Amino acid sequence: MSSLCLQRLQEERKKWRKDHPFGFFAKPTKKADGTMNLQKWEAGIPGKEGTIWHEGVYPLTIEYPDEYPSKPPKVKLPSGFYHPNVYPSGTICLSILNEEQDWRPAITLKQICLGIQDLLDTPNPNSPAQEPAWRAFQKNKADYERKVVLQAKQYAK
Amino acid sequence: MSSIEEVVNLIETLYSANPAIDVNQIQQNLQAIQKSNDGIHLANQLLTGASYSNNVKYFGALTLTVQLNLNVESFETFWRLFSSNLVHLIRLCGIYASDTRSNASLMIAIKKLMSNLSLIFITINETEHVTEDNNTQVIKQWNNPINTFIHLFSEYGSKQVLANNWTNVDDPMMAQLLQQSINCDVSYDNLLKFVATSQTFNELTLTFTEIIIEDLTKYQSKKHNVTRVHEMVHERLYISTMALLNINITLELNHIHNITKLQLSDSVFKCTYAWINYISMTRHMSSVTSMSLSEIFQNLMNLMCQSSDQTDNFYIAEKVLSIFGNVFANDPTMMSFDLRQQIEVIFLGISRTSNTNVDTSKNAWMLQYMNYLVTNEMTEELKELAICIVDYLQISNLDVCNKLFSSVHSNDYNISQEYIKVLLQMTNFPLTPVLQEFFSVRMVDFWADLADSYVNLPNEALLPNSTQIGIDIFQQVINIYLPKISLQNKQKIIEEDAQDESAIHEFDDFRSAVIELSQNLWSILGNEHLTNMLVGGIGSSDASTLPEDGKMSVYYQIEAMSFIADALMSDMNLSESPWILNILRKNPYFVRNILLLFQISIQMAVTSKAVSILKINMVRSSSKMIGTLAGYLTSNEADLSQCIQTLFQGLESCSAELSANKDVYDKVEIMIIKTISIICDTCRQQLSVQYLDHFIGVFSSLLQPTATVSGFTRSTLAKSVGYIIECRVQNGPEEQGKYIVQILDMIEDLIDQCLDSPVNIQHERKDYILNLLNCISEFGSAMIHDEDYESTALIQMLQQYHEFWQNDPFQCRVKLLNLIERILGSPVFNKDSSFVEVCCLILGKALTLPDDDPHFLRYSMSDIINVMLKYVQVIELSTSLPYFIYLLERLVIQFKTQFSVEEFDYLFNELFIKYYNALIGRDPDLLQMMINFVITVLDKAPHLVLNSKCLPGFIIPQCLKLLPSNEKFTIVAVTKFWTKLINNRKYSQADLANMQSLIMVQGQELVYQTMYGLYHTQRSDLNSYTDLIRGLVAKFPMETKEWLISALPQICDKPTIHEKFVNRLFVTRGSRAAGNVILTWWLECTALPSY
Repeated sequence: MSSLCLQRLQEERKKWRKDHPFGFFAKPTKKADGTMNLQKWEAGIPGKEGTIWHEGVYPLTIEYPDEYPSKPPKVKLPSGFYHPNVYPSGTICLSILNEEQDWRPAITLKQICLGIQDLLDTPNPNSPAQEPAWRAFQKNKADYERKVVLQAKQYAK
Repeated sequence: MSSIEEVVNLIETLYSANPAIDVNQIQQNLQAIQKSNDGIHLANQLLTGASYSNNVKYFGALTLTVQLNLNVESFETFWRLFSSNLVHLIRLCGIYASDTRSNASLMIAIKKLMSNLSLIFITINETEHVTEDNNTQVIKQWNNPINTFIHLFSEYGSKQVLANNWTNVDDPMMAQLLQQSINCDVSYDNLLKFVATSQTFNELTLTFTEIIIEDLTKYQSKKHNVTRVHEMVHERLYISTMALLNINITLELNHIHNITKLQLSDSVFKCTYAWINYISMTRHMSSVTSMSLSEIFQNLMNLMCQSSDQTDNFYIAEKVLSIFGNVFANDPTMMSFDLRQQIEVIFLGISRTSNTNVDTSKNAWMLQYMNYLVTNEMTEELKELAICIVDYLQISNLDVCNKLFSSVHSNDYNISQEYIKVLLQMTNFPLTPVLQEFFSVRMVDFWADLADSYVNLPNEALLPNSTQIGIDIFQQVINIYLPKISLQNKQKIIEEDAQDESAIHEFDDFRSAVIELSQNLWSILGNEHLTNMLVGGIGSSDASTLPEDGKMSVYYQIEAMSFIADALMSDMNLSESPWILNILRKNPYFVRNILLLFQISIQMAVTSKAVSILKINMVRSSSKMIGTLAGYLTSNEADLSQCIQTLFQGLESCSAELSANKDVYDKVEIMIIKTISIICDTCRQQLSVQYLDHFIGVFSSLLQPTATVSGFTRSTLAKSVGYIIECRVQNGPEEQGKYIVQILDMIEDLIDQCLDSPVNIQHERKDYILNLLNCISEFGSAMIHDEDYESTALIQMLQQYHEFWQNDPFQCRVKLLNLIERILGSPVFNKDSSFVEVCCLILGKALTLPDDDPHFLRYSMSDIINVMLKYVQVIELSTSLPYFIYLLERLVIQFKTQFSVEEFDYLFNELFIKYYNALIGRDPDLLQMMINFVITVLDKAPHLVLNSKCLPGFIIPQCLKLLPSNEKFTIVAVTKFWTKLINNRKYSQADLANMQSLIMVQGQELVYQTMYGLYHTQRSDLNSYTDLIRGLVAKFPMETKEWLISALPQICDKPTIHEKFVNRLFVTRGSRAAGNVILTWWLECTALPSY
């Protein structure tokens, strides 16, 4: 890991601990020897209150490449996660996480987490990433909502 | 606009509370005048008119801003603006100083003029066109606006003649005075004399320097390349301002005015704050010489310690601490080490470096301050103080760690120990966290960082006894936090103000932070000193025998310990952790007390918001712990039995609750059923012996339409029961089959009852029926083993099981198939895609299993095909066809060797071709699914596609037509199809020959359509065609070249570009390089720019 990457990740951790939105969590994982792996984090995104997502806290893994912050982290939900903008592998299709789109080195973990929380209830029609959720979202809202609510229960707080 | 009065009226209307006319229109009109050549004249008029309101004067100042941003090409105009700003500022300051109270609203215009002057200050000292002007009158630098201000203001106040003609900047005397004032010097004595004249003069001077430096900070942060002005500030303005601030902070002015009371204007703190931010920003710029703030910090520290309850109610202390807090949080090394040491003694009464010469009287001041805040319940101030102190402590976290644990520093061990003792005491501040104190909350970060630093110390640097030191310290930390995170404290917070969600959230965050801290500490304390302590704390004595009084507080203690223990234990595989299992066994009341906590929380009647919140917390902690214990329960049947019984009682209590607190009970129900599911999954072997009937009984009652449980609970319980039955293999397939049929019968009977009822009832019960069908699907999923699952009993009887389910003596499949047909045949259900989906899930459940895995849902190929063919005509295809396609895909994969080409053709025709023109061809999603299905078959059983009559008759022509599609999905799918068709490793020799002859026939058209599609597509879709073109070039090089040479001129008439493209394409290797060649051709043909 480059010193810039390490320094920035330490800064991110400090910032997050000092100020993060309520109900979210994010922490570096541990390596096998018990030391901290700053390049791989686990996080939880609560569904927004008043939406069909609200019952769940959705687990994320965030992997920072060596080139971070020049390159964005890879953020994944569990594989098979039901959402129009989430690939079957769980990779999230969000412009701020795409190096060729809106990623900027100044984007913080807090912004990423809030961006994903926002995406949950407001899928981006221009970036379909999986067929079932996308189709249901477009054509069968009742079915879409039923599945989202069920998924929320599986990830209940 | 004809007159100034009209403009004034417009301005007054604009600023009035309820403007009668369109504000946008007014703004547009006024902006036009502000930008015009009359702008400066207008501003002067507005600023001088005695009868005009302060709003009008502000607008005048604003007009000068607009002019400054527009009309500074010539020095004359610039000087006009400069001098206008100066004279108006001085004049308005004079008016303001004459009666500050009545003229308070004038400050807005004064500040705007000051801000204009700060822009002029930056412009003069930075802008090239001003400094390079040959005019000798040109002002090439402005040394110090404060000196100019003091000089002019003094002149304005002392010379009446000048004052009368003040705004006439063309007057030679005024012009001369202004010229002289720009770079005049003001001595320290004159500065002191000026600010001592009146508090207003002092405040105006402070405000001016604050505004200049704030503007400069903003200007720099907008990435303007500013350097010279910083040097100018360092050499002049910084010196004046530091003198000015020190005069104020050392209370010199108060002494001059014989003010004995400890008081200081807020302007002093605001100005100090602005300068700290500015210096912090510039000190990291290599081109700027560092500006020290040590004297200011020292004086502030002295001032802070003079502040008291009696003098100023610690008002000044609060202000100074806020400034220090800002420094510690953002740029702590601005403060020198010596000063930080002094702060340390004030904050903690101890120094890390020395225990001699420590002036503890200053810490006495701090204790008085804390006492004052606590006594007066000044929670916000206490929070600010905690943040400030902990931010301070974090600066030296690594140093503390080194001194405590390493041999790198030759330090006095006793000092470090004393130091830690103070920090522990501070963490253990004896009040309710979040509600009354914030030290413990903020200190979590400190201890977590200290633990991290300790873990990361190299072994060779550690003191011999560092392990013991670490254990001693961090065990104390855990012992402090356990009561702090108790729900008893949450209860106090809610009871204080149930509407204050933020405090509740803050407390929840605090608990989460303590969890993270505990996980960090585990790597130091290990099970021995952490997990065991928690397990012992929970399970060493029987909580059920406690006297009524104080019982609840013990439950809260158990909850807090369980909350942390669960986070530690959930990462362990308990059934394979003999150490933990042993500890659990040694604490006989552990499971019992956790169950007691669960029971107590279930019994809590929801009478208030506080109870509902605490109930959910307690159920969550206890049920999660029960789930985590599943690995332990596999070897402790008595405890397992107790857990199951208690969980079911809990579930029963939820279903008994009616709508009043439905939200709370819904949450509780989800937590319980998830725990039950975890236990059933992990302890299936143990449960299959004695508890299966009990589970079936509970499941049966919860299945009833009258049971008030959620669909999620029903289907999760179906899966849970499935886990247990799946394990019941030792007595052979017949016994297991009986259980399966018992479950299926129960569900089917209930569905049948609904289906036999009148249509309106069926409509009403749609959700319930769907839920029952989902139960069957979940039950079927539970009967599929994990890949790594090994059951000796099953392996020994595998053949028997296989035969049993092949014969299906209980007719499970037939009965279920009839039920599915009833559903799909009913117009009440078959138009709803959810029913089609679940029916397909049930039918396809066993389709991915290996051939020898027995499963009660292993339907034959013909069973599934018949259902699809029979009901494809009645379902709502636009929403339900995807589920049939999903089923068909699984079917082809499973039965690829049994499928004949004729069957494939027939199915393809019946499910796709028949509906192509009316539906599929018009819907990109369905089109994509159809093509993807063909791709899957090409991958799994290519001969079916290659020998199909549908290929030349339908698939090829359609896929050619679709190559120049507009829809991204379609382009991706269709190019993938062609790529797969051309380049498929699964082909046999016959398949390969088949494909080659097909491409030889279609190649020319394929290349034409591909290049035509490519030419007309968007740039973002170009890559979709790359693999196809590469495939063609690789597999049919000679032919493709000819096809391209023939096709490209028909697409566009650019022969040179085409020739270059073809030549480059055939010598290019690799996807990226090919992509570039294609992109270049596309850009050149479409004449679009490359970017």
